[in-house]
Parts: sequence; structure tokens; C-alpha cells
Amino acid sequence: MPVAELAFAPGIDAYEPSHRGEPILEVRNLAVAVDDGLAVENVDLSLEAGRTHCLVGESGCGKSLTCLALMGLLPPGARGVSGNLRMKGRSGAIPEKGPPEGLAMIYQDATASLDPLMTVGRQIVEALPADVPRRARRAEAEDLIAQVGIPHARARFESYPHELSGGMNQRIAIAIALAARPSVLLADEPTTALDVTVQARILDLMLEFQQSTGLAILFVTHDLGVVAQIAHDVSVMYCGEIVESGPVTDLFAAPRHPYSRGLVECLPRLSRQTERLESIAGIVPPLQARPTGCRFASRCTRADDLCSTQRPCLERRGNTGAVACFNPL
Amino acid sequence: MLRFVVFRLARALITIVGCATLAFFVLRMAGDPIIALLPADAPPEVMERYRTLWGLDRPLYEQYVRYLISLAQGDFGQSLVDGRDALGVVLERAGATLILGGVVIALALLIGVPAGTFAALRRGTPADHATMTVAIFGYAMPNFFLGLLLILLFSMQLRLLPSSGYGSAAHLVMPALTLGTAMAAKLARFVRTSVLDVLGQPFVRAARGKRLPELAVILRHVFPNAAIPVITFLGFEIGLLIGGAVVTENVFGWPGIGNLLVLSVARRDLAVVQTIVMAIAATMVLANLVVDLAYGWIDPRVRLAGGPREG
Ligand SMILES: Nc1ncnc2c1ncn2[C@@H]1O[C@H](COP(=O)(O)OP(=O)(O)O)[C@@H](O)[C@H]1O
Ligand code: SF4
Ligand SMILES: [Mg+2]
Repeated sequence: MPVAELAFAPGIDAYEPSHRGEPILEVRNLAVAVDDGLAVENVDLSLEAGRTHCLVGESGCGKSLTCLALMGLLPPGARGVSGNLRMKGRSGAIPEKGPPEGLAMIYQDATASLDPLMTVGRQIVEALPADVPRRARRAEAEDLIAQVGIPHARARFESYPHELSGGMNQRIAIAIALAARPSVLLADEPTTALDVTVQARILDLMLEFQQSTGLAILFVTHDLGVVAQIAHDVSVMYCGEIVESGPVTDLFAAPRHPYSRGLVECLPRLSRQTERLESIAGIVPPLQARPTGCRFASRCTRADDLCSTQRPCLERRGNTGAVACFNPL
Repeated sequence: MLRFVVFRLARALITIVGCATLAFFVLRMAGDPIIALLPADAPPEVMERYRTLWGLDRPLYEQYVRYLISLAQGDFGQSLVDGRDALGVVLERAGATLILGGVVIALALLIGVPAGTFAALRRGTPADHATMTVAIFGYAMPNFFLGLLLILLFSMQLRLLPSSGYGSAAHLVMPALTLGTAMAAKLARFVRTSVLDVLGQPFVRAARGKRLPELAVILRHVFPNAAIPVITFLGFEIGLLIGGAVVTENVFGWPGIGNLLVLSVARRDLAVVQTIVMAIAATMVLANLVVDLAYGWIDPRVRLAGGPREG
């Protein structure tokens, strides 16, 4: 039995939902091209109201690009994007200029995502829906500041980002994301830069919001400890692709993809500071030098001839979850 | 705050007096002003009389100390040409220069900022390349040369504009274009770079993620942040503008301080030249102060660091 499951089972049980509903956001075949090739490819994701879907993977595997693509906010280095997005029953292409209504994001570096010349209060006000009347906007922003656990909301409204700590700015970033009253929240490593106690408080905060509003969260992290605490579902990303996805309990109890197993096995040893996964030998192939077959082949103990010539696609295995592997566990 | 003001004022005073001192000695070492002022055939007794009258027979250090003392009393000396108060002579010309400088800065801002922003927003497109090519032409051209070209075209060929003089808007067009073209062009390039830099910042992406109209993103987030380096640049440019104004005023016979400066140096009108030099130094100091105040106004991080603005 994996150590991880023993350690984190209570947390998982607490959030296990009783039933699964219609997805509020579904992504099919998302691909993002950069100069060197496809940095993100074949990404399918499905988010449900009131549930947290964790997107896990090593640094550079394409987690941030995936979120930014959904927001229609790709960096200038990105050459193009394709795929389908279905949100609240309406389907269409991946947006290219800004997010669809109901979608908000917490960016990876909160402080850098705040305008240094504008008070944090005004930056929250700016994110409120257009139909909030002018007179109510300031009060509503102050409410949000208080709700994300910042004392003296009234005074803090007038603060500039450089006057606040990293943890405070992270909370402001959450307040900004929630100001838009989203039904889906993309949180890109919202706690990675923070110390453990602040991290725990911020996670609690997000989950509280989720319970009161039914928010669907896509939570990006490379920290499986966090995944074990908050996830309902998990997608594991490797080299721009989803290699395994399914309910968190299944993933921790019985990972199917050799890469996922590597992740889960080294969980207790995984330090938050080092993003490298020590127990999986070998290096992640760079974008320019990806193999034609399975991208994990060079590091995989189960690889065979087929693996080096053919690319496995993400396929349903059993009644829960999907895995992209010719020789799953 | 008080310490800051005192410090700045002291520094400004030292700068201005330092410039006057330099002008004082250079002018006196560059030849005998009496020879330049009096007709070549003036009898030696007359020259001697004037020399004594103006105190030019005294040792240099004594002349200098007397000069400083009268400066401290607010006396800038008299014009050797007509005996009028040197400050009055200079101030009389200041209006024309301020009008020209003001129009040039306005022109540069009105053209440079939109052009640079436009190019940055359309980075890499033909519109961007075209704008920047025009800008390179604009600032690669020496301003006296541009001035002569304009005179050839608009005064000699088309006979649309007066080639020199003062008094109407038509007189202002060519001097303003001469000085403003290079400044607008440089500003356009500078604004483009700053705007591009800010457009790549995560907070601009975050602002777009709020579903704000693009114009609001540009006006509220991109412009203020891009303005910080542009303000520094403008501070430098105002210094260069003064040099350019001296040339341009003389090309177009614009009766400003630059015109007076060249005239007064030729005549060895000592007190007037020294006063002009101080006026120019004072303008630079003032431009610097305005730059610093503008920083404090735009950037809360500067305010916090003990900048000029409080609260
Ligand atoms: N602006 C960009 N221009 C070009 N390539 C990029 C850009 N941002 C990221 N990439 C590439 O895309 C890949 C995924 O990056 P990213 O999504 O930031 O990874 P993660 O968030 O998982 O750490 C990386 O290989 C990186 O080189
Ligand atoms: S497809 Fe082959 S190489 Fe890839 S993970 Fe599965 S077994 Fe390993
Ligand atoms: Mg990232």
C-alpha cells in the first residue's frame, strides 16, 4: 500500500463528493503552439461545480500555458491555439482575447500580477462585474478584502502592492479573481511561493468559497501534498500532455501511468523547494527534442518497442479515469 | 520633506551660480570686451575710461567677488550695450523662447506618444515598421538642416510661410517643426519601447483577464507604468531642447533667448550672457524638479522612499 494513501486518506474522504454532475467547463483537444513546437497538446479537462480538479506536473510541462490558453491570455511567445471549450452548456473555440464570462484566474506570481501604481482596492473594484452600481463598488471591494482574511479592510483598500507582503498580495489576487463572481476559477500555483502556514490558510480560504458558492476550481500545482489535501479529481501532465486523469482516490491508491506512480511514490520525499522528482531517473526531454513515441519512454521502466514508435492517447480504462500508456499498471 | 526642499534648493543654487561663474571667467579670458564693444578707431583714453567705468581694470578675482555680491542683492549687472538692467533684457526675450519651447514640447507629446503607442500595439506589423522608419528619419536629420530645408520649401518655393520673424502663428510653424520633429521622433521610439515593456508585464495580462475594455487597460495600466521611463527621457530632452533652440532661433530670426545669446556673445555683453547662462541653468534645474515631482505623483514606491510628495 502506498505511504501516501495512509498519510492523506482522511483529507480525501472529507471532500469526496456523493455524486457527479454535468461538467461546468469542458476542454477538448487543447493545443498551444510556441516557436519550438506544441508546448501543450491533446489536453482534455473537465471541471464540475463545487469540485476541485488538480493539474499536476513538473515545472515546464505546460500547466500555466494551459490555464492562460483557457483565459484567452496567451503570452506573445505563443504562436497559436486550437481546441474546443464548452462552458455552462455553450461550446465554442478557445477564446483568444480575454476570458469568457464566469472564468477567472489567480496567476502564478501574484505580486507581479498586480499593477504597482494602483491601490489594491481599485484593482479589486476594476474586476467587479459591470452591473455592480458605482456607489456599491468600493464597499463590495472592502468586503472582499475582509473575506480573504485581511484585517483593516478599509485601510488596506488604499494600500499599494509594494506595501503588502507576498501572502497578502496572494490574498488580494484571490479577491480580484473572486470579484468577478466566477463559476470557474483557475488557480495557477497560488500557494507555491508561500510558507506552509500561509499556504494552509489560503487553501482553507479557497475551499470555504467553494463550499459557499459551488465554485469549480482548476488547481495547478506540482505539490502532491496539496493535491492530497484538496483535490477531487486529478490530471497528471507530462511534456505538454495529460498522461492520466481520474478521481484523486484512484490516483493515489492505484496510479495507472508509470509517471503517475513515480510521482505518488516519491510523495513523502517530495520537497516543496525542489521541483525535481528525485525518484524518477532521467530528464524531461526539451520541447525541441521530444521523441516520436511515448514522451516518457526514456525514463520509463515498462517501455517496449511499441512505446518508442507510437504515441499512446488518453483512453478510458475501467469505469473511472483515463490513462495514456500502452502498458498501464 | 523640509530637509528635501532645503537640499534641493541648495543644490539648485550651487548649480546656477556654478554656471554663471564658468561663463564669467570664460568670457573674460576669451578677449577684451572693450575692443569688441567700442569702434575699432576709438582713442585709447576713451577705452581706458570705459574700462574703469565698468570695473574691467580691476583684478579678475575682485571683479568676481563684486559680481557675486551684486547677484546676492538681486542685481544681475547692466548690459554693456545700452546700460539697461541685464535681467530685464533677458526676461524681455524669455516669452518668445517659452512659446517656442512650449509648442515644441506639446507637438512632440501629441505626435510622439500616440505614434509610439500605436507602433507598440501593432508590433511587428507593416504599420509598426512604417512608423519607426519615419521616426528614424525624423531624428537622424540635424535640426539646422531640417530648418533650412523647410525654408527652401515653404518660403522660397511655395511662398506659404515667412522665413523669419515673430508675431503670428505662421511665424511659429517652421521653428516649431524644426525643433519638434526630432523630439517627437525620439519620443515615439522611446514610448514604443516602454509600452512594449509594460505590455509584457504580468499585471497587464491580469488586467486583460478582468474583461476590461482594451482602452481601459491601456489608459489605466499601460500608460502610467510606461510613463515612468518616458518622464526621465523628457527631463533630458528639455536640456537638449535648449541647445537646439539656440540654433533654431538664429536660423529663423526668432527673437528669443537663444537669439539674444548669440548676439550678446558676439558683442561681449558680459552681464547679459551671464544672466542667460543662469536662466538656462535655472530651467534645467526646474525641469529636473518637475521630473522628480512627476515621479512621486505617479509612482507610490518613490513617494514611500522619501520622495518629494507626502501622503
Ligand atoms: N511566452 C512563452 N513563449 C514561448 N514558450 C513558452 C512561453 N511560456 C512558456 N513557454 C514554453 O512552454 C512550456 C510550458 O511552460 P509553462 O506552461 O509555463 O509550464 P508550467 O506552468 O507547467 O511550469 C515550457 O517548455 C516553456 O518553454
Ligand atoms: S507508453 Fe510505454 S513508455 Fe510510455 S509510459 Fe506507457 S509503458 Fe512507459
Ligand atoms: Mg507555471
